[in-house]
Amino acid sequence: MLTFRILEHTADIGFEAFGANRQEVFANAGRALFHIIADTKSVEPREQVNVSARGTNRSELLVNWLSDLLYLQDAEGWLFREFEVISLSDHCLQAVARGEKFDPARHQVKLPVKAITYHQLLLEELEGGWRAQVYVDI
Amino acid sequence: MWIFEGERKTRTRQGGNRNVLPLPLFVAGFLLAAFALLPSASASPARGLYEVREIKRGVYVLFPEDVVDTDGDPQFNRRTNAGFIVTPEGAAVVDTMNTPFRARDLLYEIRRLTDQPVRYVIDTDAHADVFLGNEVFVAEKSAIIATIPAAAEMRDYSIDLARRLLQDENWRLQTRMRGIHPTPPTQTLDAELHLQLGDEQIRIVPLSGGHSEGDAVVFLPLLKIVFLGHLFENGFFPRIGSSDVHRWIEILKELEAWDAEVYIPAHGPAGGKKELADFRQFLEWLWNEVATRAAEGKTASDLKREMKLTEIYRWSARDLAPRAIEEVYQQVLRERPVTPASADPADQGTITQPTASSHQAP
Repeated sequence: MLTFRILEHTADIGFEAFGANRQEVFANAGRALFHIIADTKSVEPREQVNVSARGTNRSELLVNWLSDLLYLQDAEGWLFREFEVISLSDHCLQAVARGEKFDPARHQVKLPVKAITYHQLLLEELEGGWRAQVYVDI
Repeated sequence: MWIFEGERKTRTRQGGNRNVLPLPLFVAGFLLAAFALLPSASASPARGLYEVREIKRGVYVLFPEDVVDTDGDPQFNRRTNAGFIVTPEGAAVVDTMNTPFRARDLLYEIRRLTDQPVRYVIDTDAHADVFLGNEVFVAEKSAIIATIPAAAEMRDYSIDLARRLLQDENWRLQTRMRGIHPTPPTQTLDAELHLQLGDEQIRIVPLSGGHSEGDAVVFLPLLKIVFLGHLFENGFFPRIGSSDVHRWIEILKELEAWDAEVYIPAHGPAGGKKELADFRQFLEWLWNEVATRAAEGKTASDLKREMKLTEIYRWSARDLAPRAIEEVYQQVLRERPVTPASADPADQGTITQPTASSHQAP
């Protein structure tokens, strides 16, 4: 099954993430985000980081989840490769992200992402699964 | 309904703590529980980030997964093991983890086993990752016990935390620490303390001056279990800080000689005498290796680059490995101060005097 697809845009870049359920689509959105940021093939899932996010609705929760991951990358130097959503409701998410701290000798940053945007934000249930569409500010 | 792995692995209940249900009620309850456990269309089973194991009769340890937490104090972002002892006369807790949120998981697991009050909470030292959950047990009216130096260190920590919060320009620390209230002990000890809880003897033994001034271990002599707190790390790099490594090694040797079978570390699985000796030998090796290389005129930066600690020891908490080298290096310098060879201020003081340290491979 396709997990995510990068969407080109005139000024920004975005992605579509897919999943059999909402947990999967949130996890795959995390994968897509870090696929844009870095070459994740060189990232080893050595450490796992507990990430909790809240939102007033499902879409805001998706933006907040990705924003928290982006903060961890930007401020603390984490690069993540694997994501596991432990629990998920409409307003609250608990997940584990696995990866390691940025090592300039082994890791390559492809495209620094400034922020997660609400532009054309979409989180929808399709027949047989879920789809998210997110554009990020670069 | 979420099914937590920790719940599934906690199976033992204490007899006599709960009333026995009449058979029809039991059957109805069983059917309700079975229905609730069926997966629903909107939720799949999730797992917890810890598991609870009964080490010996009535003695449990909550072993967290090796997770870096994004709430709580970032300096203490790894969850520690927490123990609890359940008897028909009440329960006792050893260490309350790094946030009250984790401590509520701990209390939840205790409540799954007994309705008896949590009479004692024992903090094995004053590091925030073993005592920031204390506040959860205030409502339980538990006696919170630590050594006198640990109580002083907890007060110092609270003062320092307030200073850090004031300096927190991006509010990140304030966000992380929201809802967390460092809670000092209600009782202190300056000598060995014996508690009796049901049939269980609990000895709290101060062993200060090694890992920290406030260290104590909790010894259950009948069951031959010792909770060591940060004195023992099993498969994790230790936080050396301002520890006195020599004294730490002596304490570990002393503990190896105790009539005990199970040693519970701050991080990692329960160990026996072999695992405790392995950790003590790591500290000896680290000291000797750093002292030998420092005596050759190497700087702390040289050592961090050359020693490849994380390749020799494939342990968790890898971020602490270079710090351990740096901190041991500084201790070595304090013992044998000589002129630095490096212009790097981080490498102040380099040893030129040769030592007779043995070089023992791990």
